[in-house]
Amino acid sequence: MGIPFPSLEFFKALQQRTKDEAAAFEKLGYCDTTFGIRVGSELYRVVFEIYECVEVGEGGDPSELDFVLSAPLDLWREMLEAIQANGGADAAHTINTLTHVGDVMKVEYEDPEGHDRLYRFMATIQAFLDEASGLDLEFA
Amino acid sequence: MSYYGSTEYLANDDFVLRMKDIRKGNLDLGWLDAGTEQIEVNAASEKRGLTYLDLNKGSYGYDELPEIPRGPRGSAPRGAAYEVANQADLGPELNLKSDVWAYKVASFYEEAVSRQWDATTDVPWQDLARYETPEEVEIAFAQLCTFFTEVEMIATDLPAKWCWRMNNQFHEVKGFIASQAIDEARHAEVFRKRALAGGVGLMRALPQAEHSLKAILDSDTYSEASAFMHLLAEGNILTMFRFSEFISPTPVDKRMFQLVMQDEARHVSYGMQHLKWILDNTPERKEQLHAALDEAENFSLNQFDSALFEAMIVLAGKGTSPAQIKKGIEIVGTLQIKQIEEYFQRLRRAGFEDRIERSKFRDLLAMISLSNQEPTLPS
Amino acid sequence: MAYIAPKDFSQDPELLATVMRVMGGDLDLSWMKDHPHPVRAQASQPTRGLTLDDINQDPAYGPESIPEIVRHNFSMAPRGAVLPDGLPSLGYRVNRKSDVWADHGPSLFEESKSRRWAPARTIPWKELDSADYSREEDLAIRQIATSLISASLVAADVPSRWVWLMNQEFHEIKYLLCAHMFDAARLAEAFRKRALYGHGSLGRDSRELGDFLKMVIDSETFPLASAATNLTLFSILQGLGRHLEFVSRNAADTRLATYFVQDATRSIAYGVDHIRSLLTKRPNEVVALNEHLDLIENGLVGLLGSRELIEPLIVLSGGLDAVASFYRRTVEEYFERCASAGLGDRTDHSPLPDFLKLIEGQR
Repeated sequence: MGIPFPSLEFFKALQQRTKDEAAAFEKLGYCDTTFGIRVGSELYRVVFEIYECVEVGEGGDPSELDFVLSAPLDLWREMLEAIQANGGADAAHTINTLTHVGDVMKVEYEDPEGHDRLYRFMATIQAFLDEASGLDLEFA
Repeated sequence: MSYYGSTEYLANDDFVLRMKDIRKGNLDLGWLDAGTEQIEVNAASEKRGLTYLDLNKGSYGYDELPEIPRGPRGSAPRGAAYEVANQADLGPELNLKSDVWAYKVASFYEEAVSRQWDATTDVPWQDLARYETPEEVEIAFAQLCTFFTEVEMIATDLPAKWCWRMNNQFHEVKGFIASQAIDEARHAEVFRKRALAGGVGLMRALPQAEHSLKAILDSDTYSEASAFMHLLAEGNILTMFRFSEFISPTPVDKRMFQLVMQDEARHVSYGMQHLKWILDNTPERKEQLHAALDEAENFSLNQFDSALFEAMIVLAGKGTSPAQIKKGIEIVGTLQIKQIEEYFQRLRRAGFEDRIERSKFRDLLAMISLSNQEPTLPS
Repeated sequence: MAYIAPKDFSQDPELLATVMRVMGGDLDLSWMKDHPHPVRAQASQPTRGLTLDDINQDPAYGPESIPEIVRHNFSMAPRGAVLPDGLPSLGYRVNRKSDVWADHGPSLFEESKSRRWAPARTIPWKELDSADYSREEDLAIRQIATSLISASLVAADVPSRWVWLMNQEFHEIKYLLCAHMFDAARLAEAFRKRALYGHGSLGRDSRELGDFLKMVIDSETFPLASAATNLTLFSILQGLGRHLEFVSRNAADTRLATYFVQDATRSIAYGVDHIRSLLTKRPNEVVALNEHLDLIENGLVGLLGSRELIEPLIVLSGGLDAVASFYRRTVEEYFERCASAGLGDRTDHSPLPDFLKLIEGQR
């Protein structure tokens, strides 16, 4: 049985990877942000503190998050499959590319400073999602 | 007054027409044929990565950069196509290569980028509580750290004062100077943190040292400031860092001095190589540098502040008993001799031997009558 | 030398006496009592290390001890040290806290050190060997890189122009501005390497870019320079970084753009917090800041419409529409930041909305 996506279990597995790969995340530097990942209508909360992901959770108030990366399941699936096929996001499936012109993935936010945290910590957030390359996934 | 440009674009017919033309798909594409040189660039060493040294080719390289780069005064990078009459003049004041250049400066810059460290995490602060330091030693250490916090910021302010005045043609030097600014900010940070983490806090600022700092900042030219700061002042501080590592009360402090030392050594090397470049390429500036160092050495002599030297003696002797003070004086005396000897060595390496005969430090050696002492510090 | 010592110290009997006394073992040791604010700062989170915020907890040393107008110290003595008589003035001209302060400044400095990178090795340059760009695309990237070298060098010059004039009481902001200098120099390095790697060349200097950068660096006061640099210039640079990442088709360009965006955004974060803090303290400054940005944004219009920028972007993006869309987003995000900083709604008096309409074919 693989890890279902989307699920809290998936994000807990990524969280664990930030601990297992502590040296790689430390090299990227501090990352202090609480952001959301919305898959369809399901919202997950990801909390980064210092170098690692310290908490993941389901639901919550989006206005308390720095930003939310929001996309339908199909897009997340496409992105994760690209990550798994390439050992990390290929050029067409990075978070920045998906959220830039065309907005196939939406960035929701209320505070521009919270929004800018996506850019300040982009390398860490990308590395966090790239850790899915080592997971056995099952899509809903 | 602020500068607000040469054109009000949306009221400018040419600009508006250009935009409408582009909207129709009519691109000029003149930039595709910029007329600049094409070169082949690869990393000479994959392990070291792609460095500025790998880019030192043709019209882009620093070897071909003349002493007087005539024309460029704007933001165009070296080797780009530009029109002398059409550039926005940024008003650079340092426009001669010998004003700023140093042998090996590209290597120094790459080294600085590669060896950045973080005073917050690279010093094991949490271990400080594991070591018991006698109160008087900790107080002396706090005084030393106060002094270092005070003087290190001159080496951010001075590079900052001159960096923006340098022509963009000298981007390797600007980069190195910017790296020095962050290095020294980090030094001020680490010494402040150490003073505030040790239980004593900050102590007395030192007016005599500060007059020296003011003289550095107020130097008439960048080269005079560099000779004073990089070569003389930072050379002295480098020797003090070595001394401080030697007498550090805890391994945490040793680590701190090991880290700051490597940065300081890089800055001193730049100063020495800049001086050498000047003397090799514009020897007519020698007398001007002599005069500047005459006064710089004079200010340095006055840095014999009793609070600082007494703190160093207490640290070196590890206390204030007569025997400890005696031992401390021996070590600090040796340090002073080392500072002067190393300064003279650097002058020799820069090709400025005749400075030694003229140096006021010869008097200092005589004054403290310690010139016959055998150095006991580790090299 | 402009500053001359009052005497020849090599012939000074007073100095000689001090040297002889101390080196003769007659220590005064009165300085040992000069520690009026003992403190043992500790890391609040050991994993994060000992931060500036940790050592600022004691009011004797923290930024709350800085008065709005500094009148007590013009020397390099660190904040909280004992200030004896005889300290000289170093000639600082920026002595007002609200002219520079941002509460996030200390943590942004920590972040900049922590998120360090080195272009020589962090960027996988060899990936460019197999990048499948057409000749026009390849030259377009090198042209944009050429412009980004210029922008980065001036972005290093702006903090350099001001930091040495700032009172040492604001040392956290001085540290941060030194980090900005270094970050910008590193970006200039990275883009020079990008332009020249492989069979490389630099492109053409842009008159409009040069004019815009001159406007930014010639800003008359530090708050005006901060708004023009950290809000305006870095918002457009951040947008460009995002777009370069978007059009990238290889790991080297993707990583370079990612680090570019991160560094640029730290400057923006300082700019927003700094201007907000200034306007909270001195709301009347909003007029001067907005007037300055009205004119700076005219320079930005020139840059965004310059052939050396918009044409290579069109080549890389497959047409003007994608560029216009990216410009619009970047400008809107910039306006959001201005509003967040307390500058209000800038859309009415800025030339940027009309420019966007022009390239969108609505004007």
